[in-house]
Amino acid sequence: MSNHINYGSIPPKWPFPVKYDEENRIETDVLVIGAGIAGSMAGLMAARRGVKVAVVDKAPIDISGSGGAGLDHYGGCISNPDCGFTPEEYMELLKNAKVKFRPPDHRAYIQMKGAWDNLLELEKLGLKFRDEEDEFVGAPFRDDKTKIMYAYDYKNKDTIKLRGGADIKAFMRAGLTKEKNATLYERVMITNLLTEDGRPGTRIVGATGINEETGEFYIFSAKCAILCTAGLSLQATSTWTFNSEMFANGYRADPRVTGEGFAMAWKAGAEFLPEEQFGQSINTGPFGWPWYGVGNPDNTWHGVNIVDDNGKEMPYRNSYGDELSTVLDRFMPSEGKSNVGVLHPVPFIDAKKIESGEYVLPLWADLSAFSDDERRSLWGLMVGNEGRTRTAIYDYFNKAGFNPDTDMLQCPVMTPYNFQNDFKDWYQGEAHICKAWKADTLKGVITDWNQMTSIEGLFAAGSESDQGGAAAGSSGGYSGNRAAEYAIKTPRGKISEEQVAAEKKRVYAPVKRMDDPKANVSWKELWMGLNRVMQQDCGEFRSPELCEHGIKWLDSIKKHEMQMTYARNPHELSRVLECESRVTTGEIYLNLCKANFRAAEQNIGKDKIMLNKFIDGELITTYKEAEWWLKPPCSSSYLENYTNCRALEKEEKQNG
Amino acid sequence: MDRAYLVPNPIAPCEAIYVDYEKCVGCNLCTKQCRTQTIMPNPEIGKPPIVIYPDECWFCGCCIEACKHDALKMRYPINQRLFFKRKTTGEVFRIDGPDAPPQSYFKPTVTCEKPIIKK
Repeated sequence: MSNHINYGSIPPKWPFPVKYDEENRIETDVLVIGAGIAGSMAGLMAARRGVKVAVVDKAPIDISGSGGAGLDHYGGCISNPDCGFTPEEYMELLKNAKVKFRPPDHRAYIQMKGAWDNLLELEKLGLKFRDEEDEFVGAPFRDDKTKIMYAYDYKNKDTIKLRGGADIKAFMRAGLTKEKNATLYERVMITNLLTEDGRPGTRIVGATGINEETGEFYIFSAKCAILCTAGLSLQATSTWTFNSEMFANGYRADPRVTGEGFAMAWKAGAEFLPEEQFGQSINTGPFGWPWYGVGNPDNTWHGVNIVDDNGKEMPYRNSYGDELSTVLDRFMPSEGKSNVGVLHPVPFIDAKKIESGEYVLPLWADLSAFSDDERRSLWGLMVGNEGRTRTAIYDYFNKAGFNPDTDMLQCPVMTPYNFQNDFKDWYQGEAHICKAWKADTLKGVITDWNQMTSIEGLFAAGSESDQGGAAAGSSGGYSGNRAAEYAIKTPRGKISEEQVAAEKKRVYAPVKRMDDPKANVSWKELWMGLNRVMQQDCGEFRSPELCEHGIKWLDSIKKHEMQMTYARNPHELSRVLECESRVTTGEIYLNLCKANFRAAEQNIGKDKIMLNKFIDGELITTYKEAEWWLKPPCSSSYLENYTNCRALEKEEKQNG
Repeated sequence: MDRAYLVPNPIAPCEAIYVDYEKCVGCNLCTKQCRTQTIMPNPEIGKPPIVIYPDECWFCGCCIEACKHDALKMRYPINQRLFFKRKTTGEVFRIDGPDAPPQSYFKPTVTCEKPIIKK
């Protein structure tokens, strides 16, 4: 039985004092909701502008968020001085790219433009990301002058390897604790936004929350709030994964990213960008393959040789189909062709050759073709710093006898054609038995050039697409500055006590009904129930009728089983509340899906950007011009808009 | 041998985190590094922590890194303990398998000094 607890005995008491209903009233200027990489940077930057900042996270901030277990590289660091293109050039390339892996909009620009400054900020906080000990002198990925190490593309240099990235959040938390204007609230989960008169669509005046250890209640009065809960868009895969088995290490993103941000924004009446991609997800399965532990040649294990069971090597190709002969070629851009919006070179695994027996499974990832520098960089620097691999792969595999100098790692075994599959992430294996549902959201709430949403005083920040931590930090820092500027010129709004009381009632209902025999639904049952709705009614096949069916189904669960869900301690309470957020998230997706059908039916808005919000039980659709962020009243230049928004910040910096 | 108990099934396929009671000093540093509250402080002060929600573990390893007494180990599920092949000899081993070779790679990760976090 090892140390599994024995359920036969009387359960131990909750290890913290329980203080349900006890109120903490906090007054701040800027409220940062969620302190991952984006939120921490937002908190730091806002605090430095002289306003009071409350930084709130459900988890300890030194490890919280999707980057909290570590980050091995800063992707999309286009603004670094040695990058092959400027952010402005990059936007053009992105617009014309074959694969639109991120929307070419003002948010992408903000993220890229600030990424380098953001990295320098992290360096000041103690993250010595350069090769300061000269371990890699002369390596093709290292700039011997700046000691910066690049990943993936050694010519364009848009991605920087992070020595010490495993502790990125610890550096950020240490930085935050030095800011006298910032107060940290850890293990506090924000449950709802407070609006001026308690009605959706009005200005943000604060938020409420609960403590996951003590269960106590928090009422924050704030001049504005920044949603950093994978809120601007989402890199976080687990957010929208409606999977019956929810945790374990098959997931890349933080399992605590559960959609509160989206749910809160929706309930407050914020406008959402359209969503089109729904369906099965291969890379988020429970108990899937260990991330980065089976050779993933288009990502961390970029450039690695993939061989069959007899040692036959898979030829490397770029996404234009050109075969690449040397290892260095795999790290160089295709000459004369765009390298933006194309995928990294990957080994081509011919399914026909597997079927005919020419290639024998399993495949193996073989680091031996690498130079010592390249191998050490991959295993020691990237795997050694990436989130959830320092312990799970690096330490664990090394201790188990794996030696990267002599050994090859097994790749997942699957149906031959899935290895080909247009360069998809085959190393994550096939879809798992439990159907994982996922929306590939790259959009989320709409934000303007100040990264304010359509709700006054509600800002957002976070990464977009696969640029991960770099984009999150850059976006967070920018929003922190804009929010501070807003807070300085804005008077405090009045909290509606009615709204607070209603939220308090909702939040504690699951613990109040703990002893009620009719309250027989566990948070896990609620979780699995709502997953089925999304898997069935918002999957690969969708129709207007199925959208309505799903909305009705969720509503029925909301009115019935959700009112019977119990919580026996603050932990279960936070899980029930997360499920409630996910019910709202499900409603958001079904409504966005419904709006898509409605627009298609009426044949409107094809050349425009559709926006949806939900006010008083009604789905309201409006349209904005395509590329509105470059049209009046905005300037037609990315740089000019960006510079204008940062004018005050620049001025203050110059004046010290 | 006649022992049998009326107990529920295990809550997760694997125990996720193993605590070595001999080494643990009950400092609870690990519990302060868990985002999902998988590992919680023992209500009896000074006793080892309790792995209460192994079904929610993200296997991020933050608790293991926090332990100053080498008292914690991750327990990965069987389906994640795959094979590796020694190229020079053709031998095939499994991570944590019965035939695993002794550790032969001892290099630390490429990293910089971590800040001290006081809580």
